[in-house]
Amino acid sequence: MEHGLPTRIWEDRWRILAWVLPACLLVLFADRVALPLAVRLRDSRSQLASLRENTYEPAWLDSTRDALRKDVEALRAFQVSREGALNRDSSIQATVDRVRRLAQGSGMEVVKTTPILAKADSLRLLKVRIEGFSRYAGLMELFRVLKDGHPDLFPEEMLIRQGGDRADGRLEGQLVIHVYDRRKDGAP
Amino acid sequence: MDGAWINKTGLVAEGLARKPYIHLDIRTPFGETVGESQVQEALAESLGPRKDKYRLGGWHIQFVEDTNLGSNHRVFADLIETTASSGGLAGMDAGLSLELAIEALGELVAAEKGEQNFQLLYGGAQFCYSLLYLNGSPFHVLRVDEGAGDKAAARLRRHREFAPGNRDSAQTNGRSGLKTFLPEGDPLRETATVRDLRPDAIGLGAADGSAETGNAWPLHLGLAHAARQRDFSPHNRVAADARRRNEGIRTRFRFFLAMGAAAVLCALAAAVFAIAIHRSQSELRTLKEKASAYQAQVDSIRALRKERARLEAAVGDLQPLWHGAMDWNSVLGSIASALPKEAGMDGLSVSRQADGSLELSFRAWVRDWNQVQGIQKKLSASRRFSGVTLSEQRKDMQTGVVVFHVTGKLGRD
Repeated sequence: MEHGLPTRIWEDRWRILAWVLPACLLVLFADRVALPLAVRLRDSRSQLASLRENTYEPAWLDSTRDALRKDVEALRAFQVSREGALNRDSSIQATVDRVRRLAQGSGMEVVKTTPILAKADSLRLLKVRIEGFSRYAGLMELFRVLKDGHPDLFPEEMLIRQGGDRADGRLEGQLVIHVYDRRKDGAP
Repeated sequence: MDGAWINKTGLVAEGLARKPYIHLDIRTPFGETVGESQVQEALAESLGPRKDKYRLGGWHIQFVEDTNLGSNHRVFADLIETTASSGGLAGMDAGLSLELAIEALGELVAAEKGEQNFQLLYGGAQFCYSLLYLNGSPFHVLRVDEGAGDKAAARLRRHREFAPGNRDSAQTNGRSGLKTFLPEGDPLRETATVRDLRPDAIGLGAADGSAETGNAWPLHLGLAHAARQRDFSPHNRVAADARRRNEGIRTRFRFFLAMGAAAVLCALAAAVFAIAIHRSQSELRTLKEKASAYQAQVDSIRALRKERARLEAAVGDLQPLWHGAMDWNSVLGSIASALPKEAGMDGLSVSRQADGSLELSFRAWVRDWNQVQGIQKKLSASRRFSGVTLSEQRKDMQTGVVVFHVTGKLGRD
């Protein structure tokens, strides 16, 4: 052999390098750059696919939110109005006295008041039974006063008839007024 | 010749003009080929006393003819004067005598025209060539050291007699079955001797000679073709070191070219990835912004749902208060309006049932039986009353009035 292997390799160094180095460069590029970029691209696309799948219809969101807001506003207003219908008196006797004064103020001759304590669901129920004599106009006045000025008093039961000898031409009425309240601890 | 030209050209060849050459006829036993020693012996025999003046440069077998006496080999050998220096141009890959270029040009003409037997002529300013091409191989090359003219044309025409079976020039005035080809624009066409041969023009796709190069382009073409042929490599006068140097320059250039191409490929791939990632990220940002807006709305909806559930629970605790207080004045007014002008009522009773509904009953009297049904209709027509029934209808014999009992359900406001 005229030339040794090292000499041949040295002579053909550029040819060898032309085959080896670009290949190494490509492999290095693929390992260090292309693959990480491909992973990053795949992650981005998977996130995109996830976001595209979990998209919302804006109109549905708007209509749902508006409907819920209306419900909440209606419920809140209803709650406020119903909370306002709870009795705020300090005691049962105070309530009985208030009912009696209202009846007397309307021209009714009160002959008997009977408080009955009960429970209605989560609320405490006080039934005030008031018996007496009154003209028809006085009775109407009592109903008007209760309706306009005392939303916590609910006349729920009644018996109105012609009075007897003691009525002196007046009506004899027995009214049962329901009063609801709630203790501060929430228990009825 | 600098490296840039070496890189630009795949191979740089120098045509060596007016170099001595010789045709050797060597017969070997049938089927055997010719070796170096046989060529040397034949050359020494042919040169005779001049053998000390020349030495063998390179050789190749031009033509082989098998006969019953053996195989006749026509060998073309170029000679180097023993006293002459190589003297070639630097940077060349090949240095070949122009006779070889004419041979290679003949092969191109044969391939282009599809001819197996012809004479190829070339006329130059200082020398002319004739190639006899027989049976698909170059048979003999003649160089005439005269410029294109009548004298050279006559010698080139006589060269046809070298072709076996073509010695009828006397009878046919030199026109035999052997075709003649001449490059377009060759000055030999101006001579009557050559015109008489009615030569066919050859273009080979090359342009006509310009004023600068004259009609040298067939020689360049043939030289390029010859330099590529392995059979002619023994004729190459360029030293192996110089060829390797050129090869080194080209391989180094190819190395940088390959590295550049790889780098460009990497950059392109990275750019494609970068663009794709940029687009994905851009779309991702847009979708995330939308998702953020959606999330705010979803959070708002969730909060509203919680608020609604809380309010529903709170309102549920107030269920006994869901209905407002009855407008008893209105109730009593409705009952009064349902009764005729001359009527009365007593014993109005309202009782609350377990389900929270109200039941109403009272006793009424009217003057006429016919008025009773009207009262029921009026009460039923009112939205406030339902299930109105009349019972215990009787006529009081003392007063003459009709007494009856009314029951029904009372609707809440």
